[in-house]
Amino acid sequence: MNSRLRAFGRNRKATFGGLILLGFAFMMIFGPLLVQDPTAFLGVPHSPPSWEHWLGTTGQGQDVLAQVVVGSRVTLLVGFAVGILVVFVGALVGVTAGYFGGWMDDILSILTNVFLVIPGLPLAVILAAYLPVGPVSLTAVLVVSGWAWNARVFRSQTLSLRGRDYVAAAVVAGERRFWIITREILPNMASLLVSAFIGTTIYAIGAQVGLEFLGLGDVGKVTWGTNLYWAANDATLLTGSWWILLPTGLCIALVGFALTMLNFAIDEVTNPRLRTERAAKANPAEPPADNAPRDKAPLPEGDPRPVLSVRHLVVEFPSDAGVITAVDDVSFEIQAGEVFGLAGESGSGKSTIGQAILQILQPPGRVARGEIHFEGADILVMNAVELRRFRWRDGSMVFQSAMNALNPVLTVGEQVADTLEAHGVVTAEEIRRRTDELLDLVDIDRKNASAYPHQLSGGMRQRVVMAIALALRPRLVIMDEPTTALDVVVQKEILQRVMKLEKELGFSILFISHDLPLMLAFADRVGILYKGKLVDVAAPGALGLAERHPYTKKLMHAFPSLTGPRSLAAPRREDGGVQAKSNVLLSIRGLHKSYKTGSGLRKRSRQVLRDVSFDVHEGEIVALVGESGCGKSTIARQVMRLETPDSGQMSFRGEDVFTNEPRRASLTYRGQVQFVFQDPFGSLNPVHTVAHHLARPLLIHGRVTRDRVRERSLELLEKVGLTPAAEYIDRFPHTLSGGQRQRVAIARALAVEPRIILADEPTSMLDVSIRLEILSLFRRLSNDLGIAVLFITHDLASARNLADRILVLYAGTVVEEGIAEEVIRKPKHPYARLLLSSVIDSRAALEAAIEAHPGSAHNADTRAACPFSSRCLQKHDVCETARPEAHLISIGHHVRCHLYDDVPGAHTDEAIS
Amino acid sequence: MGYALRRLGFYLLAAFASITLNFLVPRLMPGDPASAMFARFQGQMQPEAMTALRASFGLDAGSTFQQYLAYLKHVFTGDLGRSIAYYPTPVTDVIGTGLAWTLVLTGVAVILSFALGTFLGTLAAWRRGGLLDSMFPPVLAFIGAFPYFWLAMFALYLFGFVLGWFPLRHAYSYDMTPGPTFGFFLDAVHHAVLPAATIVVATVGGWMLGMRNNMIGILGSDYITMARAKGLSQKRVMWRYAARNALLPSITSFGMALGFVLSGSLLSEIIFSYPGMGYLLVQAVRGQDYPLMQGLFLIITLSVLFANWLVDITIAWLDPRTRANE
Repeated sequence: MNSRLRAFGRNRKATFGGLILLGFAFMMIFGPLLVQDPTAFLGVPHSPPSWEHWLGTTGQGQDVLAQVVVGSRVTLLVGFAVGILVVFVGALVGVTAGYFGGWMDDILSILTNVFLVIPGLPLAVILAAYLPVGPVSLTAVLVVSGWAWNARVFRSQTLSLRGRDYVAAAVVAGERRFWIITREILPNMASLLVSAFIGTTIYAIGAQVGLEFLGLGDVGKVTWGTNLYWAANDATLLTGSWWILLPTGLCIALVGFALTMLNFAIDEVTNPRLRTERAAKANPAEPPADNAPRDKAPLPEGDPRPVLSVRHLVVEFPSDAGVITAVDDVSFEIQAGEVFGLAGESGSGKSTIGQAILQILQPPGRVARGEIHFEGADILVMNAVELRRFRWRDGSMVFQSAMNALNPVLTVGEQVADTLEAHGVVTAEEIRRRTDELLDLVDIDRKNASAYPHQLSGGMRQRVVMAIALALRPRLVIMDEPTTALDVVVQKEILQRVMKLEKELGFSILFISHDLPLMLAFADRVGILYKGKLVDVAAPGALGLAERHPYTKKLMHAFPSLTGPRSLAAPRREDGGVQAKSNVLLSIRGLHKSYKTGSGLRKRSRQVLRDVSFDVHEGEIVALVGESGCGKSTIARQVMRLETPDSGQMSFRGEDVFTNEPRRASLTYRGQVQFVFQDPFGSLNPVHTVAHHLARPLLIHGRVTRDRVRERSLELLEKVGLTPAAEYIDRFPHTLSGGQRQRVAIARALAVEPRIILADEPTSMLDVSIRLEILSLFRRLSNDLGIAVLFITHDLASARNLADRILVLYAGTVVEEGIAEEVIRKPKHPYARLLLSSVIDSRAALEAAIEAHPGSAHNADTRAACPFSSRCLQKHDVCETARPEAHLISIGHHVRCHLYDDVPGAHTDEAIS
Repeated sequence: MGYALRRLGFYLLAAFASITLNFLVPRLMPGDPASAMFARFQGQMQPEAMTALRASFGLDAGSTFQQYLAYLKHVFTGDLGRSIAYYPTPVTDVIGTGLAWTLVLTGVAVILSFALGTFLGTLAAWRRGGLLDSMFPPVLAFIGAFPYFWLAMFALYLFGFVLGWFPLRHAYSYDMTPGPTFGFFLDAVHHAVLPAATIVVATVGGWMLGMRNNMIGILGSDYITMARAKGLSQKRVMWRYAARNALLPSITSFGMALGFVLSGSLLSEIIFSYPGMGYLLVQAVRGQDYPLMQGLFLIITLSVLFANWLVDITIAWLDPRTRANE
């Protein structure tokens, strides 16, 4: 926040606008003392500027200078008053509607939208015509006709802020609504409040002058508007007395201009991309010019000639703080038909290398040194025409996020077609034939050529992107995290498709990913990037050897595995069981939840949770595993009381929660059940320090007295491994790394001394090398403090390593539940087996067939008796008609599937699952 | 289609709200201005004019609710009462000719300005830091900060009085008979140039800056990078990928700003004595012709609502995502 203020102070536009406004403030306050009486008839009408009247006289012989100076008072005062009032009314309506939602929002936003489309001036005219003239009624009129715009802006801003995790975190901490709005939401609207005030003031001055010009003001008062009214009435133009018009108009324009400049400055500070100065030379469309003259380097020796050869590549990003070297002296080669993997964490420069090869670096990034040869041709010396020919025909790219890589307003077919057209395929017949061929290649129905990207599922979009990448049969395809955004089952399907195409078409692949186990299975050779440097290159089998680079070793051990010893498991107990000894802490029975989508008559309901039941015992770590959309986060939101389920019971330590505290969770409950969010960048409020985040829960729950808050906060930081704590407590979230923020979030959850912590994918946004540290922190909390953890994840390997028990969720139903190792080793439900067989941790796993019909939890048939029946290869008739019961097949291992209906020894268990 | 109908439903609701507002305003104002107005006109107006005025305000018809029903009936049968200034011409007739002139003048000027601003904004964002990008926005912001009618006065003084390039008043020369002739068309265009140019100059900066900022947001997105990587020509990336997407929020804000721009242009009509709605508005204000004023409010509001509906349909046509949901 402070850095923004400083940036604002440095901004040229802000300085300029501020100085002009200061001048007008001076004129408004002291000016009237220095000039003549503006209403007195002092001179000859219509006399031009002279010594007595510096700016001439009006049509009635009044002094123009005096009128302009005195007129500024009422005009600017009314302008600023309207600005303040409108922002106040708009913010009040907008924040109320946005925060409380429901029917209040429905009514307020309809009212707002109606007022928004009613044109302001005609409304102001009829209002002003009926009201007594004068500045007060003018202010009232302008507020009534101008509040709606602000209400709308504030509503949408509130809606977006209300959805932030730090607001949910405040709710979970037990904060009251009033404090959430004033402490967590409003401070984040500061720049919006200011820019809304400025925008409204501009409108108010313009509209006020307009109304007065029409004769709807008090024409006896001296204001800028009445000055112009009299100017128009006194035949100024006929007599050519331009001096009557000019000064007032110029003043209005200068004030408006100064305010506009301030608003530009706010926009630029909040969104630095909008600045004009910076990227003055870098045209995003042109390849950087500074590396054009370059000697053709001799080709590397050896046969076969590599498809791609990168030598001593250095990529730099100049910035305010100096030059950042993103890629530092990187050299590698890719042979024909080879899959070369580049692995590294965020910021290692792996994507930058891919972009440099196609010369699509985002400005101000540039290749500072080095060579990139494609089949012997130096890409860096190509001119624009050669480069266009090289792009896609020789080397193409599959982008990480398929949704963002496709143009939302063009159909799939159009986007394939313009790729072909750009490279010389012109006849409609040929384009249609090739498009069909490409869609067949990636197994997408031809009729989807006329579909828009948003109509396809994530996996389909990624296959479309792949089809476009292969459109011109390139010899090199760069794949930048092609499956990271996808669920495991879809990921495997896509990678198998890539392997098949690669064998058929024989292209080389540069495979960029952070997922080392996946890469070891997929790539022929792997390069490890660390802070822009290529520290290691080897075949997958050789990377695990002892003599590798220390970072390689660290990375190799950073991934939890589905086999081998469980590094984070609970200390063994004598009887081998985990739950038997401790009491049930949290018990959920028959939870149902559906979400309403659409509005008005088109309301639809989508069932997210179906009859979910499970227990969590004291001190136990339970993992809730499933693909995106399976409902695992929804369960967390019900338990956290951020939402209310449609039906079902939940008891905490034997107390029935929904019956005892139906509307809102009690402080007692909040003090025992805490939450750690997925995104540590979103769950801490950017305007508050670490100290605030820890102090609030401590104070709300009265865990310590006010004078001991800081001491206790320091202790908490120590406990989560942020030492020395004094160094962290007064810092703002943006100065911390992702892992540090997640530790603060965990410390905040610990502050109230809870009995259970729900952790929703707590490591998925973090770099791989710190994931294990956070996971082991949870294990330590469980061991040392006896806190139970409900660990929500899509990553089976993490679940296996950390959890005591695992619940597998599919389409809102718990399909399997059991002791972690048993579920992973001997999965019983067809879906659990599918999920486990989709984890790619070896070449064999990558090549093994997928054991289900295509699809994901997203397109599961939630209406069917068994939601998995539409994809199950072992489906029977009964799966469509009767909902499967949960069968107990060994100690604590339940499976909800008809396959176990008749298995001897298995019996229906009413109590659990 | 469902989308267009749903939006139509909303605008019908808004229209109903503004019709009701039009009924309520004179009755809610402090000091019963309607009665005060009749007191003021006592003796100045012919008795039958007074009766007509009372009737048009529905003041004779019993309870407020009955008055409201009577008012609604009048509105839906196109009866907005009789103008006082132009007595006994009905308000609808007075507005009729003015509406046509305003729609043509403002409609053409606003669309021209939007097209020009969008074009300039696209170029400015494409060539970041170029002449267009660094010079135009502040200059246009400065010009845009003048009240429209002030720019109109200035233009009229310079190009009308001093230079004599354009006629000083009205929409066509007095010796012309309005009709579908080429001569009349040329004459009307000659009269419209200055008012239209004023509107264009005053508003073009806003559209340009909006489009520039949208474009800059879009230019950072993956599909632009991919379009460039695909080897598409610069022109194609700029227009079909970047501008095509940046246009969508621009059109939305165009709809939002329509009422505001129309208000400004009404004021500049007054300067040119252009026989449109703005001119009628000032006549109504000066002659305290309340029925005309309220009729103008209603007609202007309904026109803006209709224009907004057209904008919504355009967006649905341009953005496949709008058609699918919401």
